[in-house]
Amino acid sequence: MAGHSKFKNIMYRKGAQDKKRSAIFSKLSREITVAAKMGLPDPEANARLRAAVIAARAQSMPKDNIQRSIDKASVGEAENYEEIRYEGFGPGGVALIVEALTDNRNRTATNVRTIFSKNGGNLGASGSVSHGFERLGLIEYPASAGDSDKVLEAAIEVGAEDVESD
Amino acid sequence: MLGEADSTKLAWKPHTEVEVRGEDARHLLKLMDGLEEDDDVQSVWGNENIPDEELEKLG
Repeated sequence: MAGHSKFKNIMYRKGAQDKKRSAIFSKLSREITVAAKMGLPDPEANARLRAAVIAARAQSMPKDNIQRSIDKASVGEAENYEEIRYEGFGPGGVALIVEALTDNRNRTATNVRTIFSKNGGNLGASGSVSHGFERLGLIEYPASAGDSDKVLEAAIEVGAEDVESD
Repeated sequence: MLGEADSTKLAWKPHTEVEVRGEDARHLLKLMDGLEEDDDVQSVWGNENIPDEELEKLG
């Protein structure tokens, strides 16, 4: 198993982000609503929704809020959201992929482009960067879930490609 | 086996990583934070590798 986590950077950035709870809840509930709309509004029957609910629970989103977000899907609130992926480069030549859920393509494109250029990066064409990545399922457990042997064993059992720890 | 997961999601995993240090690392993190702060942005993925000692320097 890797000694250093490739996702440590994400942990580092998330530390600062945790302070902005309302922003996180907003993103989590948007994903729940969109996921519920894409299939059945039932986590048992909808893998994407199940994942969204897990993520919300991990951030201590109240059950009521979660249910409300699911219910929004049936009253048509998810109608206008679409998924957009942006790709570009940042400082140091780092390749970046940005996933957005938006009801206003133009607003988001403008904002994302501005953030890139204001911070020494540039937006590229779709596909310009993603060929350097692979799409994988990522499942995160807290350290308390088990020691490295236990986690490795579980990972092998379900056919995971790799295991990393922080 | 391991109890409930903290999260399950589709991730973008880079084939190779780019090491970033110093000012580049600082500006990169600022860019990624800025993107994540946007209300419409759900996730940001990158192929950066910022060594631990650099992260510590950035505090």
